Amino acid sequence: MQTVLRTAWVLTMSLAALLAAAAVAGALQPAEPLPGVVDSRCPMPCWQGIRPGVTAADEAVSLLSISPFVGMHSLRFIEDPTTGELLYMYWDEMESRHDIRRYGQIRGEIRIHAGVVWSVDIGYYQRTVTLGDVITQMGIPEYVGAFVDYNTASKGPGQGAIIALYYPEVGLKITGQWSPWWSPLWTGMRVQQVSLTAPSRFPADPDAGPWYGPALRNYMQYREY
Amino acid sequence: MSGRPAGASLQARCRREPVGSQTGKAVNVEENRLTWLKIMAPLFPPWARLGHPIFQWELAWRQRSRGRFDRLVERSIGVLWAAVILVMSVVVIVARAQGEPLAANIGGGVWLLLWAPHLALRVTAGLSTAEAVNREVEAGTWASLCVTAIDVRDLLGAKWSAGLWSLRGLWGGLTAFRGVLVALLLFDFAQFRGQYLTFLVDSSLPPVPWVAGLIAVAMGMAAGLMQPLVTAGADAAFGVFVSAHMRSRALARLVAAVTPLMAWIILAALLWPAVQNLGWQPVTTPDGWLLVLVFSITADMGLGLLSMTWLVQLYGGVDWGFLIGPAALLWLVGQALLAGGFLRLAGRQARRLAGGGQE
Repeated sequence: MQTVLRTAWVLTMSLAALLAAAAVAGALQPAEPLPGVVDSRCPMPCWQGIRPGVTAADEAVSLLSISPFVGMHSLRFIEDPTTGELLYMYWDEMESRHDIRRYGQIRGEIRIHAGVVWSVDIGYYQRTVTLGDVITQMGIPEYVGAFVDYNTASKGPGQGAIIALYYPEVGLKITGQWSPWWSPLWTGMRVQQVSLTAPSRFPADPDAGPWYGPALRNYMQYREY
Repeated sequence: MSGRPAGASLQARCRREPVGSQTGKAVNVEENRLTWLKIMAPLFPPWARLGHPIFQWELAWRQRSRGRFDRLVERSIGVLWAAVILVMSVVVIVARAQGEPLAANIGGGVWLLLWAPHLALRVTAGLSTAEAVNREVEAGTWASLCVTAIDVRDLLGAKWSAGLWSLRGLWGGLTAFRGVLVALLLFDFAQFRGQYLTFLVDSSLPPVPWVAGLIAVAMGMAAGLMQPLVTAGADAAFGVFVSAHMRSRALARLVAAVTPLMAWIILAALLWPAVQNLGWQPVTTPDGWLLVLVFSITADMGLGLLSMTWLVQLYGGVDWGFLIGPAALLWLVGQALLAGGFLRLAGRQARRLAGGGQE
């Protein structure tokens, strides 16, 4: 009995010291850059110099044309058939000149409203950005939404959940599909899409809840996608 | 005995005769003492140390009672055992190497693989001591042992510790495996630039200070590390208790082996459905909290306390969930008390048996 108490005391104190050391060691690690997400040239939200809510459509086209992330011939435009106003542009990973090994293949789309960029959505085809990158750089999200696709819900617990982390103050939304859904928030989870919107126009998600810890399962809801 | 105290005679005999000398194989436990055991000896009562005569007497009996076939079987099980622990370690390390927590890569079958060796330890712990008293009674040596200078409680304590010592490969391997889990968990806590513990503590209901969360997690991890040995100790004590109360050695072995197994099956069957919804529906009631605690330390055998997946569900999904770890540690202290109770009850019965023998 006394041996058990003594062992428990020694182990608890040793493990507490090790846990504190692990937290300190983690804190000393340099923050990972967010490749292709955070742009040092301008404040968030910004991608390759394009700022939703600020940058004009023509300027965005110019910036895209010189971006290494966009292939010159892969850029496509959709215009309003009646007015000829630019509404939407998108591109795929073809012919881009960026470092594929570092950033992976990237696809993107930009929505335009009244001649100004409304939103920028970047799809990480090879998912080179991780949740660890996002959270160590941006901090904990303000809101989290986690949804199981209702149409595939019968496939069992191994199915993926679509999880969205919201940073409304900087107009950033991070989305990924992670499997299985009972996993906690994890550094290795790969981001699929980064969405940038002007903070004043950041879309509200009524199903998302405030951040209260890494148990993503607690945020889970069924939703038809 | 030629006028010398019986205890002294027995001690002298045990010192002179190397363990296993009856089988022609000198396996002297004294010579095999490890330095770390010498250092740790003061932590244990005298009867639990390798030099205690009854401890050696018991080990010598184990050596004598095993035939060549038994040793072959034991070695085969040992190899299988090492392979299972290796596989388990590889499974968890590969899961982490893929950047995901343990549970992300394993299904129910692997959980069974994780539980099976722990169950085997519980069964063999009971078996290791199930003949501690009744075989001496059967051979007519119990009364002689009881008239030595060694107290009956110390006698039983030494037999109990010898039983546990004989399973050191088993619980040592399992504790080492849990050491791997602890190392991985510490690595996990360094993630998100060392903020994971803050995340965990922040999700707690009610909120707890960071230091309290740190101590609570450490207590849970300590419980997870200590669980195999403490539970095996309680099972071995139950084995001693059964051996004192059942004259039939076969029946005693059956009861000592089957009882912990059945208890686990019943607990796991009852509690598994209760914790399946953990995370989907918050646990807010005291009875729900108690169910999660009992599951964590008995049915799950403390493995969850060393898994980040389970920890985040405890903190985020259970009100006062941060107390599960400390309560698990208290539970183990309770198990140690229970083991002491079994040994005391066995001692009472053993004294009666010795009295009957003298009559």
